[in-house]
Amino acid sequence: MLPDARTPAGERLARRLASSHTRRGFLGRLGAAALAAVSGRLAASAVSPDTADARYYGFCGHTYTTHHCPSPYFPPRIDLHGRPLRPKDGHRVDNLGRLVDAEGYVVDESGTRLRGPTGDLLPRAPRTRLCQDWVRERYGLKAQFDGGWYRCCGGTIRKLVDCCAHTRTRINGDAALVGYCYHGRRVFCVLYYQTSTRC
Amino acid sequence: MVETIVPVVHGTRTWMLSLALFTAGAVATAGLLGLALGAALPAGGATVAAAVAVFALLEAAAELGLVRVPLPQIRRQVPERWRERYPQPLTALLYGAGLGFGFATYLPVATLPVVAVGVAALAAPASGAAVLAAFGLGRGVALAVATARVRSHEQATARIEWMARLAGRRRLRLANAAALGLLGSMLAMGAASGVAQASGTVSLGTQPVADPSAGTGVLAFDRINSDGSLTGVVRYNGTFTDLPGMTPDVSGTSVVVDTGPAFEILDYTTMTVLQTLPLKGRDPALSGNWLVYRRLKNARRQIILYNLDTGSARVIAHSRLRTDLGPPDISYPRVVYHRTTASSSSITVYRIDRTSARSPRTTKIDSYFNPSIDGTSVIYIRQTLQGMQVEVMNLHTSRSRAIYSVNKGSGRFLWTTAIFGNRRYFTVYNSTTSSIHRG
Repeated sequence: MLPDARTPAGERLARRLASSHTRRGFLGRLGAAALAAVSGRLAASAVSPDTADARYYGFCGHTYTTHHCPSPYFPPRIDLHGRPLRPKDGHRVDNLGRLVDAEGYVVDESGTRLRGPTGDLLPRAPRTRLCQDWVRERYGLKAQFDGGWYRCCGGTIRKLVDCCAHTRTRINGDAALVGYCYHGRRVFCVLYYQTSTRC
Repeated sequence: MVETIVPVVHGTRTWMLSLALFTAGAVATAGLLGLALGAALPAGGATVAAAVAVFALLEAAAELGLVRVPLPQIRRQVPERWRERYPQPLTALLYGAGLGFGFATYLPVATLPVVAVGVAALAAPASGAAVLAAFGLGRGVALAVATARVRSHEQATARIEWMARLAGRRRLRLANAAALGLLGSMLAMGAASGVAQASGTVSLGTQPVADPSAGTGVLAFDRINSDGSLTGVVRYNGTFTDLPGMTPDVSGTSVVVDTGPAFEILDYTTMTVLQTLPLKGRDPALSGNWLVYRRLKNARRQIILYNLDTGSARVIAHSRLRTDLGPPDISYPRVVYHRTTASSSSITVYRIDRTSARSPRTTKIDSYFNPSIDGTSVIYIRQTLQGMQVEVMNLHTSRSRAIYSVNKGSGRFLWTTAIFGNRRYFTVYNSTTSSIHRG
């Protein structure tokens, strides 16, 4: 049975398969379809050459190879503290990808709190740091932000943030790069922060 | 038996009547057998599904002649004297009822025992009745094929021999082996995924329902009225009775409800009010002489433990308003509730006798909510990026296993839970309705 891409082992396998295929090869696409069927969107996004090229391997003229950190949305957009935001508009979302208000309760697009069948508010979910908290719980790595790259993207500065940890293997499943990590840490995965600074 | 129900002597009209009665008898007894089997055992999880898969694959191997497995059967034919004693339609009804039971006659293949074991181990009573009723229907279809347009007893015998030839040369056994192999493989895959979707909707009327609470021979729940209000209902001895409040919780022969200004404890066997507690709060839960509920006070969320004997209360958990401190459940000496903040979500168990709390489940990524407890078993909902699962945790081992799940994007969601012994209940809802499932 194939490992599930929702587990770290399955995710690594999916990414390893992705990187071992010729990007535009037929088998690669077939593998993408099969993995997408059994493993869900995360594996598919890692394998699919088209979406991967567009989302993970480059933006605004910058090209990179380390995949994104686990996140409710792709690519993973974060706020100042490293918590998840909805990429298209920067609205805060909880760890399950639901829009939330300042108190952390689930809301709809108009800001009204959502309720369950008995009229009680939907239970809230944590809204934690994708690098420090998610990577630690899923991969057992103590991760932190060290450095990053800046590019002008969509009229404002975008920072591609390295999530660094003491590991020789990055989230792709292959060798981790030093990147902008310090004190022996290497890049495990990446995220981005969209500033409001015009460029 | 087949030669009895042919349109030779009594004509086509009597044949059709006999065929209908035969089928009705077969469907009725097969359905009753399925109902009894479904009610015999609680619907099992992944482990039970795996065991049934092994049985199905073993019987498939037996069909292929690879192993020898004895079949539970009474190798007798239907009583011939019935057709001499009774009119043909009544005889047909009796024959149908006898053959619909399945095990009371010769079983040429192993499909029925496997399906019966699967129904007993995995299905709810209603689902079991539906599955085995199909077996009874199959008996009727076989009889219709064997006797349609037959004009003489010789023709009937020839038709039967033709059907026997059709099934001969191991074709029947090969087809059954393939069917059992397919069934076993599907169950094995379901079990391997860790979640057996073996659950059934509990029949509680046509209106949306939620908030189950179970006891011996009793199920209490909330009916969601068309205006969104809740009415507590108790089902006892098959009778539904409205309660004078909502969010009912059962303990022994008592049930507590929230009436708004107070909590009322009633004896659901007589519907007499035992105690009225003018306490401000919501989501009461009862266990013996202990009551637990939650309230808002001084801009804090609190969970209160109330001793019905002494009338004393104490705060066993509290939080800021922005923390989600969930509805508590109690099974003395433990109280369980969920607590979710911006940084984590946990299932917490408070020991009344030790006045201490611990969190056997904590995550920084997912969401845990709406737990219920019975003894050392806790049932709760886990929500992840991929979907929602009903999980059952053993407090001795701190191990959990999923017994039901819905995928993200399915339009279905999970809500409140209840547990009593091996009976696990949970609310499943979508945009239009809400129902209680037993898993």
